[in-house]
Amino acid sequence: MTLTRIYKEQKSNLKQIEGRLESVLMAPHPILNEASLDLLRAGGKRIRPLLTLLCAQYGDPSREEVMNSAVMLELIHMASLVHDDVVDDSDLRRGKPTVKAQWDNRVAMFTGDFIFAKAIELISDFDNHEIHLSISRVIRDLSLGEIDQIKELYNWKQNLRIYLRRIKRKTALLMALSCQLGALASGCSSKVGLSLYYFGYYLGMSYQMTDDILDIVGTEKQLGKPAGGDLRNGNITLPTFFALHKYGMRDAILHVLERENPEQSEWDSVIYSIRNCGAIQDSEHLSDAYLSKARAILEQLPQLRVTHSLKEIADYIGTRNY
Amino acid sequence: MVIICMGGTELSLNEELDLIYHQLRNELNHDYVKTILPEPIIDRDKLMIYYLLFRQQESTLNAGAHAKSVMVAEIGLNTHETMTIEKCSDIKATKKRQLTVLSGDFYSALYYYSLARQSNMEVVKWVAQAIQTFNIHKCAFFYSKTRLNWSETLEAVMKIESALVEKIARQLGQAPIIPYLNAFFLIKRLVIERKAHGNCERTSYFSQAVLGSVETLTVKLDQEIKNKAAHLIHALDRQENHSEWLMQIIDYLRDQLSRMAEGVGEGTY
Repeated sequence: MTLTRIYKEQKSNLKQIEGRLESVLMAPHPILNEASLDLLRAGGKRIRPLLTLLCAQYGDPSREEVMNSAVMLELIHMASLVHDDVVDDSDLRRGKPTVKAQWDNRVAMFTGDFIFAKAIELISDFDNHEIHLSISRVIRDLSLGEIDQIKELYNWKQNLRIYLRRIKRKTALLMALSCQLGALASGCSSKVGLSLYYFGYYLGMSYQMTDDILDIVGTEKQLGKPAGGDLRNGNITLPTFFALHKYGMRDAILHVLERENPEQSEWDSVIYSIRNCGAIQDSEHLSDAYLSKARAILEQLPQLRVTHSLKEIADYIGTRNY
Repeated sequence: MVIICMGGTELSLNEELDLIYHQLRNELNHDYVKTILPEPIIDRDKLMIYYLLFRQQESTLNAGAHAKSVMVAEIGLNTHETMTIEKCSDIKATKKRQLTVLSGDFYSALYYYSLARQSNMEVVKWVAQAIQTFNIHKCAFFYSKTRLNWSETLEAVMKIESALVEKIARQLGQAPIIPYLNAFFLIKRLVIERKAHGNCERTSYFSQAVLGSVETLTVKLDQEIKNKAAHLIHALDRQENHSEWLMQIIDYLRDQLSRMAEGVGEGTY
């Protein structure tokens, strides 16, 4: 089964989610309405709702809470993207103007807060203490991860543990929650929920590492922005970490990183060196190690059709190039 | 949290609030954020009102916990309110802006986290709904199709300032107190704006464009504060035959207003 086929199988559910997102995002102010709906129409992989829908198949996927969970998770993701664009001062996302570029930072703040509040309102009807504790802890950690990222900018001395904690909070926890919620909302036991949480966690770690690798090896056309964007912003990701600490590139990288306005050719040169020193292979090995852990979790779960779909998703994460 | 008795002595309302205030300060603390941004301001009056509103139905322990949670949400919104729209050029200003976004998000996450730990999803829903209303009012104010006149501006500011407290009071069955809370928190905001103008600092709602000059705005704000405070004190003085709880809120508002009014008279606020 391919990823395309998984999306095709979930097409009607995903379409329903799009419809629900659109109606939830209706706002009684034209700017808020337009900003929210533009964001929705910009699309995305919808990987989080997809994981929720799939994991719900271990229980009763027709439960109302499953759809609400999937919608809520995408809303949280969307809200964080609007605010991230202010943090990163980004004018484009998926090739389209960001909310902050189309209007201004203030509208981006209002829109993100509005969408986030919509997500919380939607989930507040859930009568499950365990679910609320899980969601609220992840949302809190998500924001802590973003603060960590700012704190560690230009900190070339940071160790691997700091990087792993940061991507755990920034990406992996929301994927873990997407899987766990699918299970719990569909009536699965806490044990199954926990297994799927760890599956999502390992998957999310690998997903972010792959993102970080692609940022270095991707072309401007593939990425929609120049390669090495993280490094240019002072964000030390996995390939740069290996280049700094294992391949003796400290002086070369710091020479560019600590300059006020490096030339484009200097960036190109340092990115070329990171690509070719072995740091990419090391990053891929670590990413694969996380994927192996994710696959091992699936071995412990009932071998249903959905289990194979989740394996396909893990395979896709390991090979994706966009 | 022990607030009923300490060393065998019952705490006064103000002492109870002090305790809640300090707990809240600790909860808001973030080691890194505090090195870049000023400590978030906790509006003691709002905290007190939330506490009194919740105390009508809850134990002191729960009322304190709920009041802190709602206040955290309010602080999250206030943090985002300081967001500037101008382009940032230097690293320090950029970092400040980035952390303004992210610490506001952190506080917004904290209210849900703390209420989830208290298993109070009803209040989570109220706060989430109030935050939506708040942002709708804000958009309506800052991106109005027509230029707002003075009284429309005051009306809009009042709605924004009271979005959360009004929702909580209504949901807790205390609708009669809402007009007084609205008026009180509008006056408080006018005082803050007046101070900022006096110090030539950036203000949230009033710009010279509204009236034409700094001097005119200062005079106008002074007049408005004075009139509104006198009107509200008069209205509060006429309140009687309410429940003990409601009278406690009314007395509190009256005391605080009297203090503010003294400031107006002396021009010191």
